[in-house]
Amino acid sequence: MFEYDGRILRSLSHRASDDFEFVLQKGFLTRWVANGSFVSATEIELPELSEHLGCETIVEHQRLPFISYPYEWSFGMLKAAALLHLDLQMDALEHDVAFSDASAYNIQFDGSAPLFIDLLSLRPYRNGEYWLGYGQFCEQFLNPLLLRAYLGVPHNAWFRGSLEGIPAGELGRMLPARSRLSWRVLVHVIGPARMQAAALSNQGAVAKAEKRMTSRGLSKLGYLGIMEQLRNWIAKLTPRDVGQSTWGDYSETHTYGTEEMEAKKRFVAEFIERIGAKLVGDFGCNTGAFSELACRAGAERVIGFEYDRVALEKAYQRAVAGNLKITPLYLDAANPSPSQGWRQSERLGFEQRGTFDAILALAFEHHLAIGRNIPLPDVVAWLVCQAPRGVIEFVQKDDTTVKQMLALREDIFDAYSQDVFEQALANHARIEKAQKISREGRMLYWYERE
Amino acid sequence: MTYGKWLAIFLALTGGTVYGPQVQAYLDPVTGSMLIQGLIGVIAGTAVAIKLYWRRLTAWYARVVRKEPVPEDSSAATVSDTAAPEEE
Repeated sequence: MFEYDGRILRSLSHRASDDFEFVLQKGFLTRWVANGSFVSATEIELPELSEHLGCETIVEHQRLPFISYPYEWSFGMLKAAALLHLDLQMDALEHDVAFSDASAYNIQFDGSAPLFIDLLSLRPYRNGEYWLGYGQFCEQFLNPLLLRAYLGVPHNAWFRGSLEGIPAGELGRMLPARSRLSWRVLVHVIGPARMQAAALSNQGAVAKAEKRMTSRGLSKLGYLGIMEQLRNWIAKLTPRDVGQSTWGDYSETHTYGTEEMEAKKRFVAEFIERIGAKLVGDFGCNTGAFSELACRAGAERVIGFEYDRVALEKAYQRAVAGNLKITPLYLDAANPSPSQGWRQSERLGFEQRGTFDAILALAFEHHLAIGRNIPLPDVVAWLVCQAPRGVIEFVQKDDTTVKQMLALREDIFDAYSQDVFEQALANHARIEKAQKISREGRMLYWYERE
Repeated sequence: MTYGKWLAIFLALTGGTVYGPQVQAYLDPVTGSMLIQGLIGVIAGTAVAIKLYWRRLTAWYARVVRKEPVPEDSSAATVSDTAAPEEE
């Protein structure tokens, strides 16, 4: 896959071209693209390029505005991706097409809707074959979801550190004893974990048994049955959250009065309407109220970023319910996703994935400047780097929220003030408009980078 | 020279970008996963088969015995296609 002349292209070798033709003839791909579950793939004629590369076919894909990875998704997003994967696989299998893998990285989000992006995963089904991607599906979808559903532990940090997902052996050690009473846990987690342990101590025996099993083959009904069983299970999983979230209820518990909130909304709406942004980054999107407002004011797409998992989930549910082009992602701005994988270029870091047309950073900067001890001018510089224009809210030190943040710690923030903020902003951009929006003194700044 | 290298050189000359390293798509099935599938495949497959025949039976009962009109979007259709592929 490569970018050429501003287009996203994929070259197919001779064998991949044959598979692609086979899949195309089945007809379901057109239906998948039309209902938005599969990336558009148009065969194009670029004789010079294909001759040079010695490839059979070149396919052009739609360009996605922002790439995200499973360790940045909320529970609901990973679940939606898992269900899409199974639905497509089951549909394909009925047309004698199988998937060669089950990687969660083959799914992206278009707004709140999951989208399958890897054309090369599809190939003809061979009678009696096993589901090759089963182990990968469990590690990248099922186990991370079970981690949250059974233990209340979000998958994000573990998945980010272990790019191939969560192995059954490791999850199995943590699951509570009573969960082992479940036949599905036994079969899909404990069983594979034991099998892997057995393979380590007695490789020959497991390999022999596996060879015997493979020679017998798996019926198509069995193949479908395994996927249907997993689908039914995953569809019922919900996060089991232990403890309270800090910001999950923010939209109900924030410190704004009604009129103040209205003033803030008017400011942001006017900004979005006037600039006509295509891609907006909403930093600290919380439950997505302002992402939604931006969409309704004319932003084509909003990528929301949030640190609190409960708020993030609510933002995703809001996007789903309103069918909004909002993709909320997990981000700790003080430690964003790094570039990683093979040669650190398989999965791009947050900063490597491009910038936005505009940003919103509402009630955000103090979490970095006060909450994470990052100098205020650095926070402002980083935010202004993300887009040529945006709205940043400044929360002054005597604000109720900041007072709470400082209540149990020493106030070492002498350089945290409105003057310092304005000076920092003026160093990088022109202040188009500034407005006090709360009685306590919160300010909104609309900046335009020079 | 490999195909991946040709692609990299061509794009370097023409100003394109390759996304990520050109890693071959290869999947190592997790050890024992086929044994597990062999075990659950039988049970899960039987469940699908039972469901499928049950739907057929209830559809037949509705159609023949109770003489109900056949719904256009019958949910039985998707499963029955699997068991007995129809001409496309």
